[in-house]
Amino acid sequence: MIYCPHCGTPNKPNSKFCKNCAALLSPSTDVRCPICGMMNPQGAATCENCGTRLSTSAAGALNATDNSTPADAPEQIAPFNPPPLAPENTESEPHDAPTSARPTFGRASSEWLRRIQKTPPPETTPSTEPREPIAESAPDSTAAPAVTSTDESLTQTSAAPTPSEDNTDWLRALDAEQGTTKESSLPAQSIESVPAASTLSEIKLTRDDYDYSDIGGEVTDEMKTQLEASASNLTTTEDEVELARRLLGLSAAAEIVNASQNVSPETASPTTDASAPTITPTDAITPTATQATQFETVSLPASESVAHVETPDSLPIVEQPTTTPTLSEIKLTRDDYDYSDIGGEVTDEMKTQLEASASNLTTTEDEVELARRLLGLDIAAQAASTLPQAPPAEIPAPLASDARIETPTETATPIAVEKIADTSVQVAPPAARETIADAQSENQEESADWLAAVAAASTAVVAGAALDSHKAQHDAESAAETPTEAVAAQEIVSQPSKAEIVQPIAETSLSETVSEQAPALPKEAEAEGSTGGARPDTGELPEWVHEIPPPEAGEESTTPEWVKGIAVGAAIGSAAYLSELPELDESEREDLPDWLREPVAEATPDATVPAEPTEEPSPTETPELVPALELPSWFANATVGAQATRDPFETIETTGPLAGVSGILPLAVAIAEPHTLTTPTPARSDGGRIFQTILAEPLATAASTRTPTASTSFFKPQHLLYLILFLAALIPLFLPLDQAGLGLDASKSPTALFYDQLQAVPADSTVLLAFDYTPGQAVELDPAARAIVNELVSRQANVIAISSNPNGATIAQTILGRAHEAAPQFTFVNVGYIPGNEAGLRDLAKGWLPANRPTADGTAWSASPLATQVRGMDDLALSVVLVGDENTLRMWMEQVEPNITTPIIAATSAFVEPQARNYVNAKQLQGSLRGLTGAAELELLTNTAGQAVKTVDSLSLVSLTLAGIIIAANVLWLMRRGKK
Amino acid sequence: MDSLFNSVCATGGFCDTLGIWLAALLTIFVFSYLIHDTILFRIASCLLIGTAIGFVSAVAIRNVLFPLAARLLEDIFALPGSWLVLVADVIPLLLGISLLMKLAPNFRGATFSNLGLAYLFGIGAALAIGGALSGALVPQLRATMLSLAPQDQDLGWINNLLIVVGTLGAFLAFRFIQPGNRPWQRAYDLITKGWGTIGRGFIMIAFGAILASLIAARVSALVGQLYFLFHDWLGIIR
Repeated sequence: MIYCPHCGTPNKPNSKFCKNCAALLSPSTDVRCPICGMMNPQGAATCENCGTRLSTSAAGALNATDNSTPADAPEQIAPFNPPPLAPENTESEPHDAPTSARPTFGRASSEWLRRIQKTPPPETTPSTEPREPIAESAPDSTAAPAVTSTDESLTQTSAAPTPSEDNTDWLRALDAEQGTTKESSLPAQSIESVPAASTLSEIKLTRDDYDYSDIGGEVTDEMKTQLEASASNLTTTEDEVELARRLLGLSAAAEIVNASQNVSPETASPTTDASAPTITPTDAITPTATQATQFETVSLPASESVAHVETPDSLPIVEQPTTTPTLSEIKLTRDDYDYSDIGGEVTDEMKTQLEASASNLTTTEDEVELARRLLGLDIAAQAASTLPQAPPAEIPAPLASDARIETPTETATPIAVEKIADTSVQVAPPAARETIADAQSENQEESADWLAAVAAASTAVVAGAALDSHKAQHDAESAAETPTEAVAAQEIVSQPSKAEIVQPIAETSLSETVSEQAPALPKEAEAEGSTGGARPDTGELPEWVHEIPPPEAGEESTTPEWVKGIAVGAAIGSAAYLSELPELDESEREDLPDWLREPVAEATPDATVPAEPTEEPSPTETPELVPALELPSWFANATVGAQATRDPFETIETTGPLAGVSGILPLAVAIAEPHTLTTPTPARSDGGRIFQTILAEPLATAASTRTPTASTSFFKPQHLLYLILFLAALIPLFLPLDQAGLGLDASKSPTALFYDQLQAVPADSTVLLAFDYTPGQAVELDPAARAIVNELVSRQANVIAISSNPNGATIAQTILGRAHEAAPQFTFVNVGYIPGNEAGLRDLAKGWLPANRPTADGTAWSASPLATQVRGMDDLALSVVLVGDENTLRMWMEQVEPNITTPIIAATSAFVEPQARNYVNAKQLQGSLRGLTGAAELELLTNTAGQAVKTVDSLSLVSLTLAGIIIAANVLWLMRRGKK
Repeated sequence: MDSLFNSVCATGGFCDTLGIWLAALLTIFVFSYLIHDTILFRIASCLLIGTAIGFVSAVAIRNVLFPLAARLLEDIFALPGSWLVLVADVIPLLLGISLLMKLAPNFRGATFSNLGLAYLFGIGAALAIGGALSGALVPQLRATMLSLAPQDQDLGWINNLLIVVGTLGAFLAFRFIQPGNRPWQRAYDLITKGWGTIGRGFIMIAFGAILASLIAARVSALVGQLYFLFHDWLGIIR
């Protein structure tokens, strides 16, 4: 079940949007047990199933009570980059605490954070050689008022955002991890009662699961073997961790980081903004209770790393989030275009632009700025640059420490800070602080001069701030009526070593202020210390505090009122101190990042801590305070450049837990969140107008796309064939009749048998003529029919015409009628159509014609002159069948021929002739006449040459032509196949 | 009236001239198909189909139905002495009516039409089988029983041999029998296959002859129609 961060409505686990308000939901943040795999609710310390302690948070590494070495700490904590704060942010308008909730530390889950962790600072000591030292003896470069907590659980609470529905997934995960430690540590509320919590890696190591993923290492089998071999020598978890880190090759980095941490309290250089060599995320937790206070890995030179400040007891120490890694800038100076450490991927195009702009680049910062802009990472820089830059000179010296208090409240999670205020604050043992101070002093000696200057300045600022805040604490205690939270806050302030304030390292204003005020701060610190700035619990100040020169007498009065208020009550980071910030004009407010532009009025009264400094700090002019402190050129250029640049395409998150934050992956939001269609922009409107204009234009004359088709080619190859056949059939028709049919030899053809049968017909006998062909076949058979009738007429035979085809009667009537006209003595009877096909023919063969059978002229058969002569088929002299198809011939052969004794001859179409020849061979037919050729032969035999003889030459020529075409086509086909 | 009709429709008269012109135009319409499937060809085709159906129907009514109806009337008028003849003439009439019921398939009496179809199929099958046996199979088998040493013809035996070999080879060409494993079976299969192959050659020759005859028939029709056009219609050819 996923609860909506906006309305709280429970949604299904896989829901992406709230079913109530449609807000974007974060995926489930349940924690999976590493042992049994059971999903446990967020924040669960142990697995509900097996009781296994769930993965601890990164903040767990902040346990100050454990005995882990400082070198282990960096791998345990991964920083989260808040938007860097420009120096001018020190006077920025306060905003609402909830909206400014941002994580300062996170588990080292992202790759780049891991790299940062593992990457040793490339330049540890005088790493800033190309750069000018900022100050000779600057105190803590972080210059961050850190709320020091001896309990790392409390530190986690302060560092991590409070579990909130508005938090994103990673925030919840972070909270879950931190909550684990919190739950176990909060009840104790004291250093003594809180056991030393092991870091995640350590815990896992003790379980021998070789899972060092949280420290970024990859355990190989060889490593495992060595670990097992060395298991007997390992007595404590720390030893195992140390061994594992050594095997993973992380010891060097850890040592470097450790060295930087040791140097940091006094020698660390001030943090810069994103454009300048920035300080990597650093957990600037003041080592209080023990030296095991976990520091975050620093991936920048030691000189630029955030240092831990040995703050006075009254000075709240702010835990600093970090800016973007400075490694990128360093790499940039080497022109290797390797921006992978800052998450960017350099394409060839970017390289080209970089090279093109190389001539315009005069400083490294410019190059960095350009690279970041190309990589789209200048958002953070803009956040810093857009903040109003307050001239360092305007910041009073006493305010330096207070400014550090102010800054983290903007970058650190206010909720966390409020939690700190709500809970009791652990008191750091002075011994621990001294130990750390000693270590820092030692490191200071090894650091560069400018680092030392910065460290000195930082120390002075811290001391001054401590004294000032301590003084404010007394004032607060004297207040008769103080809100609960205010009291808590005052308690924190009164016990600075107990509180821990997270400060974003990227606040260049802070660093700048510190560095600039460094020379003046010692005096101030001493002055403040003399007026009650000493450590309340011990009444002693560390040595380095005493070394700080006391501030000028008049400087205290120069501290602004709002700064003092912040120093007293709002040091925790609640929104109260923001309300105390000086008013900014509209232009300045616009330059602020979104999360700083939240209205002050939204801050709840409870969250605000009444900042009532008992003593009005007199505003101190910074130029007077830092006359001798010279800022390096890269620092000044970076700040100015960061202010000048602002991404016009910067997106502002308006919904979700990141509402108000700019530069939050707008593309992902556009994809993930449902959005409504926006009205067309002018550009879109123009596009639509142009499109309509194009549509309205008259159509251009389309080019003729007609391709030659079959319709255009009227003359086809087959037409040529038709023409040839036509000519072959037509030309012989013009031959004279006496020259036609010269090739015919009727005497040796089958037609002779047919002719003999005709010759055998006696005179005055009756011959049956069956006209069983259609008008379509008449063209071929009519000549034969005419030749047969003429022969019969010449033989003075009578004819009885029948037809099993309805059309045959008409054909017979035409031919017989013309023959009768030619020979009026010719007698014929056209019986007409004999229905019934086989049955009709069989009936005819068996029973002959009924007496009342009507003839073609309508009279009855009995009335015909031939009815008396012919009473059956056996009375016929000859039966001549004129057939145009095979079926009719077969009917005659099957139904009639077996039933009669008279001879049958057939004049068939050329198509039926092969079948007729079989009947002739079988003696079923006495003769056959083959179509037009047979008719011509018959004409020749009867000396009545006519149409058949006239056309037979055409038939012969056409047949030869077809044969030649077929042969030629086959030859061509063979030749073509041979070529293939 | 009759004299006028006879004068008009006499041989060589107006009817013949009109008939020649119509036939010539319809012939040209049909020839237009050689160019393309024109409307003229379709007109000619439709005319042919229409006139043929109409003519066949008229012939069937005039030569079949009218005589039958006349005979029924005669039988009826001759009653009661002609009742047997009447029944004999009514049965064909009822069977014919039953066939008409096929025009209404949803009519319950449509099953009655099966009687007419059964009669037709029965009579047709009987006539076909009887006619095939008596008119085709037996005579053809007898025709192949030829002497390879004919007395009357010197080279007749060659013809007879070809007829026998061709006929038996055509039969063996349609033999689809799996050969056995024995030597004589394989030898038999080899012989029959070889003979069947020869028979297949005869079949191919027969098909070629039929195809050529078909072409010759169609060419004859073409030539005859050209002769009609150039002789009867145009009078170019004398």
